[in-house]
Amino acid sequence: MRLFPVLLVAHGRVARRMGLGPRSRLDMLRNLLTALVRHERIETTWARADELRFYAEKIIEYGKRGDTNEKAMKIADFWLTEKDLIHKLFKVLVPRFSLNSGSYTNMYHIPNRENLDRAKMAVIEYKGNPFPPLPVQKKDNDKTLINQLLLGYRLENGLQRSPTSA
Amino acid sequence: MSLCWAEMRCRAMMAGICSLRAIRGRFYSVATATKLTNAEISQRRSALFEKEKERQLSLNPLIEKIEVAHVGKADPGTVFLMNKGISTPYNCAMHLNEWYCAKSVLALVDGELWDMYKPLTKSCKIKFLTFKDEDPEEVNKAYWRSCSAILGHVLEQAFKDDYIVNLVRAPEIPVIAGAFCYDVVLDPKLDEWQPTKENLHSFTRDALKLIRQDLPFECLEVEEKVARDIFQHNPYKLMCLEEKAAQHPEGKVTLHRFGEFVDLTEGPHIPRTSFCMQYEVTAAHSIVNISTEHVRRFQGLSLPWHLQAYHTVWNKLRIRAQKLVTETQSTESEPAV
Amino acid sequence: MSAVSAAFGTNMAVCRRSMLLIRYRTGFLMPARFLSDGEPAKFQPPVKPVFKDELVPAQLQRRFLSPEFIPNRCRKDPLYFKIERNDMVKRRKIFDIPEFYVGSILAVTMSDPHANGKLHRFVGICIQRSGRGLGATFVLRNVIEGQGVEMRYDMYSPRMHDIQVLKLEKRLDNNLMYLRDALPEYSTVDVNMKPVMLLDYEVPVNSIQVQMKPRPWSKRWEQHRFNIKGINFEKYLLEKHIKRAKKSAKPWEEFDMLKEYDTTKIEQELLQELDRKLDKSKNQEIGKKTAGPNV
Repeated sequence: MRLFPVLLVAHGRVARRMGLGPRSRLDMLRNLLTALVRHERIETTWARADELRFYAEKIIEYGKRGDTNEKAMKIADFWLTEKDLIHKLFKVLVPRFSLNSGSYTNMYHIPNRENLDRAKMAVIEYKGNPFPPLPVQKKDNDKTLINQLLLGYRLENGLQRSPTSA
Repeated sequence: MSLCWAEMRCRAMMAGICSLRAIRGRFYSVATATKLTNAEISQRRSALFEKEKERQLSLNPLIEKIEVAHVGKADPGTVFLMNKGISTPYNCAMHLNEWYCAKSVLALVDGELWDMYKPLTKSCKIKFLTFKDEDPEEVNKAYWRSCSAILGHVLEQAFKDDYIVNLVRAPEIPVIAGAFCYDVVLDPKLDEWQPTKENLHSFTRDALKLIRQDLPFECLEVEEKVARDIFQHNPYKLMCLEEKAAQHPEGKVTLHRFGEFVDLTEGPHIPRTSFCMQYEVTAAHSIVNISTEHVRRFQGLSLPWHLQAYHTVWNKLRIRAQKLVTETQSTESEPAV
Repeated sequence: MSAVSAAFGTNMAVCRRSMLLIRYRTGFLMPARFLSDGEPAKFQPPVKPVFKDELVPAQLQRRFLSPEFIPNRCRKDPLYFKIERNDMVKRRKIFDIPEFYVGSILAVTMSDPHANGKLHRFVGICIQRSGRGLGATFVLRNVIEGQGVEMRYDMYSPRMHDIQVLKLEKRLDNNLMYLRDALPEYSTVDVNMKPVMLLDYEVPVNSIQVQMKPRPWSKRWEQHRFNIKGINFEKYLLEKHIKRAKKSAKPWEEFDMLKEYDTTKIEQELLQELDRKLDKSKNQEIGKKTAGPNV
């Protein structure tokens, strides 16, 4: 049965079932996270990227506790299978995000996979990576019909408000 | 005494004849006014429009080819080989892909705004305009215009055959004012009538029926004489027509038709009625500045399916659209910005 | 209450001063109607003793949030919990629920229509706290006349008369259900036990490891999901048991950040909210008593 993400959470199932079981799922995500920390931008299926995103953000939160923190070190040791990346996490990524709180990653849709399964694909990246930015679909500008209507509405309310306040 | 009786009979007869005459006279005068109902008038207009269209098509029996080049971010430099006087920008869009068919509202033919269903007359460069362009002002105007036309059609058809409905004109209201409108002079019998919420709702329902029928807007340039014939029952339209013809160098006027509704137009229209998604007739106001006639202004609000509003936003805009809009309103509000 | 009255039955004749002394020592005040010889007076809620160390400044006082205030991790409307909390605070204003932990020794008095004197007192070791909101419960266990007895109490039940903490301490585990399979002396508590004064600022942790009865037990306590530290398993388990327990272990679960439920923020907010609400009530009944800071 396929449920909406919202409903999944409502039914107490926060995560997708992937791989051969919970152990396998974490192992797969562990490899993906290691790759993400190494390359800072990776391409994978959309569902995996979506699952990975939470862990990619959470490991930075743990990293912010500092490399002297026991729990943080334990988590980093588990999630980064290549051990040279532990140094990168604490010395490169954590200082980069020291000013922001939350939302350390970007995720984009890309065209479906070309091979037989046509899987929905995504790109996930850490913000502030050295690669050139990906093209993003831009939002509607201010001159579209609905935005003009809303502008008029806002102007009118502003005009109505100003005499009362003055 | 008998003479007296005879006199009286004679008088009575005279009175009877007089009264009959009076009745007949009144009957005739009413008959001239109700000779055609609103539906019949619009059918007649539509028939005349069709006739004129066929006449214009038959003028050029030979099909000439023209080359149309596409200008735009995607697919630039595509050249279409089209038929002169028959092919429309919509046909060009069909050659490109479905995106253009679904999203193009107007075409820009050699820098001139062009309806999607108006035949091309010469080799040209073409660009398609959508609701989400950098500067969609002309598209917004066209959309507002078409929505007023739909409102006009609804008002013409909504009343019973006893009541005469004369459409005055659709003022060009800027989008920022919040509503489009159509000015109407209703039958003098309806002077006291104030449209209730249910009435407006039924207008809305009629408009949505039209939208669901997915009627195309057809465009035709005709000479003043033909236009006069088409609009002979509507004095207000005749007045507008004269002004229009005087402005045009060749004395021609542009007409638009969708379904059976023919109207004089200020500019290009959207391709089909199904471009509208949300549509509502919001209010009716009486305008007092014209002294003798009781002119009513019906207002509405609409959004295309390309730009839909969430219901809370829509409700706010709807409430705003109930206020009377005027053509000068925007010029007042702009300095305040 | 019958047990208490029995305990104090011999002392009934002693003078008022010694009576007060006893009351002070036990930290327990009998209801007024038991002390007066005449007709029973109007019901007055019993005054609860509060151990408060005046030497420790207020900022350093131990803060304790009863676990039933912390909602479970779910998508239920927070308003529901707020309304429920209001009801809980309302109850706490007239009925003092003291701070206690799993492993503490409690004496609970409950109204019981079939008991002698309509009150029933039970002393035991708290082996479990469960439930959230108004449905919070705890389980007391004791061995009486060689028979293990467990009582589950609803904390916010209107039948609840009094909760007295006889000995405040923690154990290594948050659930002592394994005492059912332990030797009876580990869950035996003296019914007439006197309250033990807590001298330390911190609640002491009793790191006792219990002796178990021989296997089989009611549950396989060696399994990792129970995470029990209060049993020295080496004495009781064979090789195959250890192997089986290892097979069912899920050591990766502690690294799955999705399963974490960090309640520190919620706890702080709740403490502030409860302070505000209970303070208001305190101002209304000025001079009655100084309520403890613990919720």
